[in-house]
Amino acid sequence: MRARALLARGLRMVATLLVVAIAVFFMVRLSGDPVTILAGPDADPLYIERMRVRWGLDRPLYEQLLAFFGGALRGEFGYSMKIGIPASELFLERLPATLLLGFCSLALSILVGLPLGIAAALKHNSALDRFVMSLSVMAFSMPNFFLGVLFILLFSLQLRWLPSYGSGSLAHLVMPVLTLGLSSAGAIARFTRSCMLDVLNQPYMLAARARGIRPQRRTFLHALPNASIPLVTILGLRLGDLIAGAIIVETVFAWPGVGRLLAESVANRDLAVVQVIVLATAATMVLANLAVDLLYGWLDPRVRKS
Amino acid sequence: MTLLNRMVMISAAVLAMAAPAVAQDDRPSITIGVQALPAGFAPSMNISNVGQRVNYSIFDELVRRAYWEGEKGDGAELAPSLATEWRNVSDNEWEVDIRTDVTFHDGTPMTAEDVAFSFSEERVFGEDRIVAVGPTYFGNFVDVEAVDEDTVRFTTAAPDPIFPYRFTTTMGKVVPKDYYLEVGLEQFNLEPIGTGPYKLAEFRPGELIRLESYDDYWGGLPPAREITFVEIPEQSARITGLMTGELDFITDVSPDQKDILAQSDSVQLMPAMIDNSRIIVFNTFEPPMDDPYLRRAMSYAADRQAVVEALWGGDSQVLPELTFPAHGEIFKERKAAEYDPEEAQRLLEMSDYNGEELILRIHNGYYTNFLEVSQVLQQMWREAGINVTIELFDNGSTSFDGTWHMRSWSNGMQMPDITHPLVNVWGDTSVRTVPDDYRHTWTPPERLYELQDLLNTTIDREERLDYFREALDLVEQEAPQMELFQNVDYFGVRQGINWKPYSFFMMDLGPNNLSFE
Amino acid sequence: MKRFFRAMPLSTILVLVFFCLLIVLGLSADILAPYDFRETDILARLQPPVFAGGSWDHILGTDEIGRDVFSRILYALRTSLLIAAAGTLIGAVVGTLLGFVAAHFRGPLEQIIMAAVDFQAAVPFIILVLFFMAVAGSGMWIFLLLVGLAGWEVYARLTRGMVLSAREQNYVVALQGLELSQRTIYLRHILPNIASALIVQLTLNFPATVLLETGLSFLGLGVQPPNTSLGLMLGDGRDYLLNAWWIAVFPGLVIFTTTLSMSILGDWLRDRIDPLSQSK
Repeated sequence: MRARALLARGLRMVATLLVVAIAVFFMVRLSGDPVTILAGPDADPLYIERMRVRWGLDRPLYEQLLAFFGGALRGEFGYSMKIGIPASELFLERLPATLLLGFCSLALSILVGLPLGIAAALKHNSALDRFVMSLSVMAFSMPNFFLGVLFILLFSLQLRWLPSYGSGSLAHLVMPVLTLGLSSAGAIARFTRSCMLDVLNQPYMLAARARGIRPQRRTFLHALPNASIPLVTILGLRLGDLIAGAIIVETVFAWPGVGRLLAESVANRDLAVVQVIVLATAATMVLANLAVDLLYGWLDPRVRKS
Repeated sequence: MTLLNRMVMISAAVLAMAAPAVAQDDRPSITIGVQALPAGFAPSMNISNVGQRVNYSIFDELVRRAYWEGEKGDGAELAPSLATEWRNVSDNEWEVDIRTDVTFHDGTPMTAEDVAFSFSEERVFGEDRIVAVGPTYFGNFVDVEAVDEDTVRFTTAAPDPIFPYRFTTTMGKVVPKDYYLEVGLEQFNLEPIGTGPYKLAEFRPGELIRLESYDDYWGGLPPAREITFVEIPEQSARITGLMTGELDFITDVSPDQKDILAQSDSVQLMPAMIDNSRIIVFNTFEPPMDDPYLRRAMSYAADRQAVVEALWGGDSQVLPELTFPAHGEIFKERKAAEYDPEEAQRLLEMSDYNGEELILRIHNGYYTNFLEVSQVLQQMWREAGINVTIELFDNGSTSFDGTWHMRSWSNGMQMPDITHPLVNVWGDTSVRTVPDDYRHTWTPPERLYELQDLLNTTIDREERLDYFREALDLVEQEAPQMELFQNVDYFGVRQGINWKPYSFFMMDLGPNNLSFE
Repeated sequence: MKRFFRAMPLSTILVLVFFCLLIVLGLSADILAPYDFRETDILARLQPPVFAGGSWDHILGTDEIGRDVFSRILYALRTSLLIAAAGTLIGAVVGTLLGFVAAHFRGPLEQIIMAAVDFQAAVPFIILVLFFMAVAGSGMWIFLLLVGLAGWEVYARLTRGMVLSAREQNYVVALQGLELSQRTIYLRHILPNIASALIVQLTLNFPATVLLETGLSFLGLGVQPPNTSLGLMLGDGRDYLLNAWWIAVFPGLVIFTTTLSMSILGDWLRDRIDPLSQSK
């Protein structure tokens, strides 16, 4: 990409993050009083008042916003009101677990989905094709919390193969990754298949066949690279889905990650923690989209030229 | 033999000799799967059920309620704890003798100074007190002083019939003065030091809390080497964990899971009827709910007893208003309003109710089974001609905005005395009665406040009971609330563990209540 | 039109029939349901289905407060279908419109719209839902709107991309040479060409919307009791898998078959409409 386009893109990214930060700041504050929520329904009014002052919530909104940005520039993102430790500390403590879960799930979904999608496309309309498609729809249409509970009942309770909660060993990783990764695998399989089908029906594929190029070479050197272009674009989408899915999967399996932390912090209106997580997520998504677009440009020579 | 080898040999020998000095610790480590963990440990900041469950093991109360003496863990007598004796030396003065063999988790001895500080003006009842909610428990204290190394003198504003009971609550826990003041409340909340059988070893918020045995516990060697509370929000995962043996205890089991646990002989289900009731509070400021006849009619119009029996079997009951089993004889005397459709109709006719929609606000997911019970009741009310709509709310103060007529709430009996929950929930400092509090639902008649003052300052037992009866009659007439059911907690426990749940939020895992086969 | 459908393989016809049946069932919930979906019968709680030891009174059994599972499934199906249909349509219409606008006007307007797309993609949806529901209440219309807005950016991006590339196509250049109005060019020529892709996206989005509703209900953010949806039934029923499996399994089966049939139909539609991917 040319320097000017890159700069424009960079500005847009920063602008997005800024807007996200401000929007989340206001959204969470306006959607319920965090102090009364944290203190509970029977809390003493003096306790509530003190908490409000302690966390700076008695100050006008614009002052709070300025304080937030001022702190953010220094690397301080406020404190978790529920626990009393810095929000960034809490976030970083829980981040590795989610990264591990997310990475393994993404890997699983690609490793399973991609080959299945290619195979289904190559054997279009055969029994294999239908079977793979049904399987992938099954994976894709099963709500992940339900799948998770089923796994626990099957693999932990019935078979006693795997532990039923928490993290700490490879065995703990299996069910959460399966739950999060399989539905993504289904979506990737479907999309791969349709991309491959699009490409396989192109005239140049027929020409390649006429030229006598062997099927494997045709598939991997001619079809797949062209199919991978649109494929790469949905990886960005998949990432978003993984993050959203992690919220549920981590809750079901008591996986000590950031997704569960987000769900709890939103319920508690633990502002600083929500802000940190949302900002981090937004930054990740924005960067991921940039990476995808760059990759897209590198893969497709036509785009590179424009 | 080289010098190095010789030194290694000697070191090994020395170590081998030192080894027996470290006792063989074959006490088990236990893991408890809970639905939610507290966010800290300071008694004043963690009064909730999840908080008390854990910090009961870290701190001791000055006086304990002898839950263990009751068959269902519901004993209501007083037992010595950090205090060995308490004497009412004059109308407004009490003297408390304290144990001298107690040490805190950091090894420092507990003194009368620590006890006096724990209940001091500085900490709990002064204008600028550290603990905001202190006066609810110790509001009548005027002075607290350590008179010598094992005696503390308390001075109250008026004769106090429930003095020793005040210390059986979670606010009765003793804290170390120097450390508490040195680190401040917020730090103390994360790094607590108490006198209890277990000390905090590790805290990962939202994940786990690990406690280690405090071997020098004054009450005897704690039965477990380590206790780990693990947060597992999903009930199926908790139950699975118990059945596979990964967990030794689980909490927050819903009553419908009873038969699942019953299928396995490696686990046992333990119900605990808690001194806490789920109620419906009426918004007496919102017509037509300002009509006491309508409010009273609602109690008669729905068969609460049948609902409770269908959902909990004999494990729960509908309580008479504001009266708990631990109140003794008076509990047997009062009766909850029974299902009586005719009486309901009679009261409805006397009221101005014309079929208007009544909005019942329920806190989503806060009270287990509350929603289910309400839906059944809603249908029963509909049959009586009372039109109720259920609204779920998520959190926060906005749930008090707008138009609403009834809401879910709970009453907790913090102390085993007739004044509780009455003065907590309908007293003059209660959030439900203070005029400018956003949770204001009723303005009690002056007489009710008078009766509460009398209850708080009258020593004679029979006289108190009479005042209580009058107060209860008043509450039943005015009907600011309606009892639904007594809260039941179900624990799943591994076979081979001897343990009794108590009729309140704590889990007693100390030497008196926990042992292993 | 007849030619269009005559080319349908038998299996796909069956799927279409099944899907139509589901829609009919859902829409006629009022007539078909033997009980009101809120009606409780505390003495008949946790009854198994008729083929597993229960009675004909409740053919699919009852739940934890005695409500008839079959009646609830009919109502839940209706709710879920309505939410998914309306939600998908809202997202499609809003997204397509904005995509057109972005592609047509270019410049700063396009940048703003694309920035909105970025924003949507960057913020976890749970926060948006929570905020709106807290501020605007938990009514069904708010929830519908939110579900619709969950997916608009896909349509916007798709439409913008396709319009941009379509404008480069020869036929459009030729049309512009004929001095037809932009609106005519868009509506009569470009839109039909990209319609196929949009319709396919619609059918693929529909199951995603059902699942979104399911996930939100699990987190307590979706349809609120006493209303019910497939997602809510599934969520409530998951605690009873060991002792009253029917409460969760039947809604789960309905979710699965609905999304499966939608996907199969969507695939078939794609194969038929998209001229580039004719099945052999």
